[in-house]
Amino acid sequence: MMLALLPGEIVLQVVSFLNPQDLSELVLVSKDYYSLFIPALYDRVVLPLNAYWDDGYRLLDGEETNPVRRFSQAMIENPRLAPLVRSLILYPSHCEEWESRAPLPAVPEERLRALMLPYGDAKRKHRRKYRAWRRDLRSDRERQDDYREPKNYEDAWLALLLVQVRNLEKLAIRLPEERMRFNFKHIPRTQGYTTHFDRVIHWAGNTELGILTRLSQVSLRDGPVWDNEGAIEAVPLRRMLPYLRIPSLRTLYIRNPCNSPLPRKLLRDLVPTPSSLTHIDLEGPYDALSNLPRFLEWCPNLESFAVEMNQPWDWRGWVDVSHLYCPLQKSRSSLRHLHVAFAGPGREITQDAESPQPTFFGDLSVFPNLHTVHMRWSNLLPFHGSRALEPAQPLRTLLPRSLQNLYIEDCLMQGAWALGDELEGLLQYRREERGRGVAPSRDQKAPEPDLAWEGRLRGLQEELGALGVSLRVIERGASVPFPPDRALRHKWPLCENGKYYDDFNY
Amino acid sequence: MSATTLRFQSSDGVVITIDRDVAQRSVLIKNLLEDLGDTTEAIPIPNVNEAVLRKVIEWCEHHKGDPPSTGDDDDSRRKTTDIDEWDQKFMQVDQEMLFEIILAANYLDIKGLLDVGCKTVANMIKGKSPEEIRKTFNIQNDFTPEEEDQIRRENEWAEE
Repeated sequence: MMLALLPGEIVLQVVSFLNPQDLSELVLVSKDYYSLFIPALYDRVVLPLNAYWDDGYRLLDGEETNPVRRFSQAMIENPRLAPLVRSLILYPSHCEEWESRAPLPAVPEERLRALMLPYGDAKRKHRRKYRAWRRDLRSDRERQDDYREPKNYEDAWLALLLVQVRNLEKLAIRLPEERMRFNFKHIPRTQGYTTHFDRVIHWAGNTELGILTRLSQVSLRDGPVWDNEGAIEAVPLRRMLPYLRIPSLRTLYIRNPCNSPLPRKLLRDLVPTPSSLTHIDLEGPYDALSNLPRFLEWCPNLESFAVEMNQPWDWRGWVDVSHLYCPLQKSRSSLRHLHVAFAGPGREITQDAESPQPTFFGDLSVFPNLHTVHMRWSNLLPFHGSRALEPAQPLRTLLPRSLQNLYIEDCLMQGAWALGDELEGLLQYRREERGRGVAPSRDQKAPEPDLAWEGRLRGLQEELGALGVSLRVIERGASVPFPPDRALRHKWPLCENGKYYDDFNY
Repeated sequence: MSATTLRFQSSDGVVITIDRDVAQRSVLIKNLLEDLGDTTEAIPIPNVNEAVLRKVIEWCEHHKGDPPSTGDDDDSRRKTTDIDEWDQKFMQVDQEMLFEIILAANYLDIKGLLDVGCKTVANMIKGKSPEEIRKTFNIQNDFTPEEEDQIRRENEWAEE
């Protein structure tokens, strides 16, 4: 009895120590407990996905034991539950423990129509799409037709779930491949693999439909890889365009984004209106993302932009940062955090002043509210020649007065003297600034410390310290603390057997 | 010069003397002292009785050397419910006292104690069946078996 008598904020704190399984037992205690704890249980729903193309994750495809189907159907049976879901996380799994679940009763046809025809059935094209969607909702057992296209069974039920969770704020999903990657005689290459899911995302762009109108944060990642087939190109930037049309969306985090071509006729409807996104974080692009500048042009309200190159190989090229300068100027007055750098395995590979070629990002002093900059030394300044040793313009002229944190990465020991000059330049001209961190990395081939440089660094540290500015050397590979509002990365849930399922460690 | 001890009056009228730095584990009291300045009068704590107040003081004395909590929780739900040994022993009280301590920690704004209290309650729930939870908190089951089945089916996704 007493638990229910505690003030709400304390109950919430107790709940924060409980996992979904604890909560699912707790709601069964009594009716009071049910109404007290059911919102907590449904606040954050984590569900396994099973249908990733040709990667061994198809055990439950077309089966009534599919978790997404079962969950979606439970939401239809009890319509009070879906509005409680504010965060939905979908991760890949073999779903073995779901195989023995009892079959479910059929869903009333009227309920389906109401959910699946938000535009009504007056137009033929809507009826046609409804029929295709309705067909894909059937399990193998229920299907009589000899339908030869790939079955978008899980996709169809996932879409049916998304139209129900109307208060959803956060969505995280490891996406399967977008389209067929293999040639089959009877299947066109344009056949989408997530047709129904994509359609719901498209609908979310139209607030009048009442679908996903509160969605503010999306985290996307490519699905699991199986024998180097499967979802390698699952999150091309172009596939993100429908997300840009969602008026409530603020934060988009994509892990392993890439480029990929698409037939023009499918591009037709995709060009978005200026997006309301404020945060974009791209982690570990697979390639040079040559359409990233276009993408950024549609996002004129950015407060934070990050691209972190952390792939362990370089055969598909790095993002050319100089191409990002122009489109980011659309967010000139709003941009506060800028992070364009290498990380993790991306820093292990051969990287020096010439490779990837030093490309000057651009004059940052035009961003009047820029707060934090994290960049390679060779991208921060223009240089004489191809090596990042001789700056062609003083650093102090390239930084905005609003700057509070500056992280400089990958400055070679050979360039350290020039770095010292630039920092002294800053010291002289920007005495009012606060809180700088500077992180020159060390050249691995020259392990013995350069005494003259160490002395100069200490001198700089003291002089800057006297102005209340902290100058720190951050060891190679150490993580750099960022302001909290940049911390939007999604921690992907554990996968099979409780292990973290990382890209190539399967 | 500020006094090294302070006097507090519990809801049942008992006056207790405490070291100033122990009392300042409570954010409420810390703020109060900043407003009041120095006082020799007993500060009334209207929501907490003597027995509970003494328990709370015991906890604050044991934890007076703790570093202040950082306060930034991320929203990842995998919070640990581990409690250190002394705290576990400290929390071995009857349920009524446990809830009183939690309420007092909340009122006095002592984050560490509130945390331990909530963890203790969470541990009374974790890994238990509904029937066991009913027994623990002395609750009557008012569900019919059909309702129970229905709820179980709806929430099957949450079972690991």
